[in-house]
Amino acid sequence: MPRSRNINEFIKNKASVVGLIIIMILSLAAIFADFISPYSADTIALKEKLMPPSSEHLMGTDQLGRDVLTRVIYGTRTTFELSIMVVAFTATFGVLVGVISGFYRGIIDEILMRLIDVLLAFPSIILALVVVGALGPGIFNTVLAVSLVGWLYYARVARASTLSIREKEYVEGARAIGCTDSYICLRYILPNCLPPIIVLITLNLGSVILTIAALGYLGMGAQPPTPEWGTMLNDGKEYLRDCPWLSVFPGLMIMIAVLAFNFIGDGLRDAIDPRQMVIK
Amino acid sequence: MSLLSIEHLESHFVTEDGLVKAVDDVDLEIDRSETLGLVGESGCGKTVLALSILKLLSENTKINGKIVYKGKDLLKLNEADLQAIRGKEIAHIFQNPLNSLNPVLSVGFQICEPFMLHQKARKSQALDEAVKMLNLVGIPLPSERAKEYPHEFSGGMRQRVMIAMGLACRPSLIIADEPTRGLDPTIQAQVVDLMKELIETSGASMLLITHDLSLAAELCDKIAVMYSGEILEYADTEEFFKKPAHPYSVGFLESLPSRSMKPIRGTSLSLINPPRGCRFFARCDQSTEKCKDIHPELKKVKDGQFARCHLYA
Amino acid sequence: MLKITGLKKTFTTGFINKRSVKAVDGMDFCINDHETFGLVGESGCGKTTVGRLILRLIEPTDGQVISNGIDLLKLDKKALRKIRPQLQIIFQDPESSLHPRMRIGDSIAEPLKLYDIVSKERRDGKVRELIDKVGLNPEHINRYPHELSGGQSQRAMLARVLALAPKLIIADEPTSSLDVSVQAQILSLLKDAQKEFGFSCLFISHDLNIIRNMTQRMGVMYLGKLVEIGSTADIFKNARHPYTKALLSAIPLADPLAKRKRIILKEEMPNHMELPTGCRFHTRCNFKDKICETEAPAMVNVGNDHQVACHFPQLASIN
Repeated sequence: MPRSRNINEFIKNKASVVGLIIIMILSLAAIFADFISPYSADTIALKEKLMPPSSEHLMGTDQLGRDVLTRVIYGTRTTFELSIMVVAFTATFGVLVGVISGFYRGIIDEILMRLIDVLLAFPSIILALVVVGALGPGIFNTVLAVSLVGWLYYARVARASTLSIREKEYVEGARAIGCTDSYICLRYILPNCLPPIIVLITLNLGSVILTIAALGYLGMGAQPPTPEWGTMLNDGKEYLRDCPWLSVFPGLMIMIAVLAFNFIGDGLRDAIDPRQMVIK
Repeated sequence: MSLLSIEHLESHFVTEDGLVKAVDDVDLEIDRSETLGLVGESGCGKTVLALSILKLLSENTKINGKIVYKGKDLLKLNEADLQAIRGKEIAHIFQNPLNSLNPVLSVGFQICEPFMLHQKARKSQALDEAVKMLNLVGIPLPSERAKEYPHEFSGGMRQRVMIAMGLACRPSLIIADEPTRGLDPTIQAQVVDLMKELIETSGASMLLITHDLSLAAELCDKIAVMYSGEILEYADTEEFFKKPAHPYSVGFLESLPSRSMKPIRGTSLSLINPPRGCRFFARCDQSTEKCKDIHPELKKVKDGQFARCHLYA
Repeated sequence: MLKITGLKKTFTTGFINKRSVKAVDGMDFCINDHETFGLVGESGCGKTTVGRLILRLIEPTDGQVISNGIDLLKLDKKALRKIRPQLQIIFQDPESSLHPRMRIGDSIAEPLKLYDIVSKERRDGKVRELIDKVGLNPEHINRYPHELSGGQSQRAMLARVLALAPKLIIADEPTSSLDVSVQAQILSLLKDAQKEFGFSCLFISHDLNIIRNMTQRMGVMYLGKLVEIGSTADIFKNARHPYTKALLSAIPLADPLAKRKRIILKEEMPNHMELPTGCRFHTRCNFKDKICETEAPAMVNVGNDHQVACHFPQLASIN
């Protein structure tokens, strides 16, 4: 795949570039939260509770007097950490299963595909809720719950890619040269599976963020005092009428992050699928 | 009497690598009931030339020059007038029927389309004509096969369907782009015989685009050899094969497996920034210093043969 | 060098409604040392499958492939891998025969690495040597396949295959996807490489002109079986099977004055799943008789190293 051409294609898509910039800003905010946030995330100052946005508190304060902006910034860290963990796990596991299934076919493939079909029939949020309900809330359990179904999509995509790649002549050529199956899977199949997987990752990050936020909203995700956008939404819902800033800002952050990832994913998809004009 | 006259045609593409001069100042003429073969390797610009005639190229193309068909300059027509000509007066048979036929429409329907469009025929009437066309191109059991889909036909059959679509409205000019590419030799033979027959009975003219010189030998009255966006030789078919004039034509013929299979050294040039002198200079065994600097014009070699080469200046 | 007997491959599909296609149905032929053997046939005859069967890229259903006294089809995975370097293949479509994400130099070096053919230090030199032999420039070493033209890709493919110094190269329609002007270059390169490296070649093609130029002996395939085998010169001069004659009459000639009478075969190629009884060719044959519909003809000798599978080979030679 021509790297420079892909990058050029991507850059042409303004929305994707904007998305990329947003995610970079958010990532930097997450990493340098300690340095850029005006206050500490846990400082409770009941005297200053529920204050609307002002010059001292750009996003106002919550019901415990904590600075909302600070919590939003630290929330970025929590959300990103969780989502990256989930995606890292699901992508790796899913791709592994998909490639093995697609490469060897036969019984393994049949069983795995049926399993995936069954699991896909479950509404993922409900499944996640059940898991968290059974194991108790918390970061690790949240990650586990969301990952349980997340890997299926990667497996499907990886398998589809594998099926088409294994028929290609360069794979036959590799077998003719005498390469082992594992070598072929690793150096031939996997790298060529990557483009659609990368697109899936960016789009998946968006929906994982939403799921984590939803769990947080339902009280099942990260536990207080850890700031997280979903839990902040939940906390703010009682005060929605009088103090909308408690919910609006975290809600806005969720939307911006998810949108940004979606834009990037769209742009990547278009860039990776080259529509090159051939002049004959 | 000339049916189609192409004068100083230029089709240039703007790409991020530069201006691609796919067709660079080409003059061609096709008379009534005449078949002209436009021969050349891939990348020489012949397909672009064919697509330029009916303005079937994309928006980032700049076309200059004149394409005069029955007295009208096609390049000056508006879209509506051009659409009336496409398929009815001038038919374009595309390469690769597998890609050019709509997989979700029945073959009969696809042949109906030109009838319904141009002759305002009703569907039942058009279907009758479509079945007649299928019969004409030699497809057995035409009324049943008209209901089938492209994937249910073999390669040779699909090509016949493409020909049927092209001939549906009895056009005066057929542009056939590599009509036998990818076909097995025995099927190719059948399709060539079919085309010969149909051209003779209909009296249509044909512009045959191909890289296959043997195909051109069988079907064409005249041959135009294209290279790097230009016409290098233009001759009556018999004269051409008896004694080709341009060194490229000579090399091209010799490189055929049916001759000595002697390759032409080097590779063809990019169509961006063509060289100053003769475009074949780098690969020519008969070149001189003059060829490097001065761009040759198309000159008469003898009656019925023209070549763009300093050997004949 | 290679003796093939009774080679068969049947593809089956479906779990409940099992349908089988006999892609290759009993082929016997041999390829001699330093020789190019041409395998001719139209699409669907099974010639592409044959190449892959010999290399066991597709496992044959039956048969023997004997090389140096060893039956390749009986080797286990380990032994097969040891022998693989000796048998290589060049594919038709240059765009998909090289790993799209590997640079050309790395693709060519890969077999060198796998089999430790030269030491690490000498690897670059060997790659450069091979690149030069196939007519590429050193600058191509760092390019990716999509940056090369079709002809250049085929050259790179050949370089990679030659790195293993194989004893047999199967060339599966190596120039069918290439532009006509490049064909001659690649074919002449293949010829030169054979002179230098001394490998045998199984040249698969549907283009009889190329076969005439490239091969010393040839076989004609129809619907999974060989119908005629012999020396190329002999078959072109004196074909004995009606199908071979039809193929020869369809050869495109770059000569407008050539008076030729094409033998037009009736009907179309039968469906693989409904093979004709008796001689497979009888549905399209202009000379068939009762026996052709019921009994499949055996290969008979009709001359020096010339065999035909036809009930009436004499009849075919008259016309």
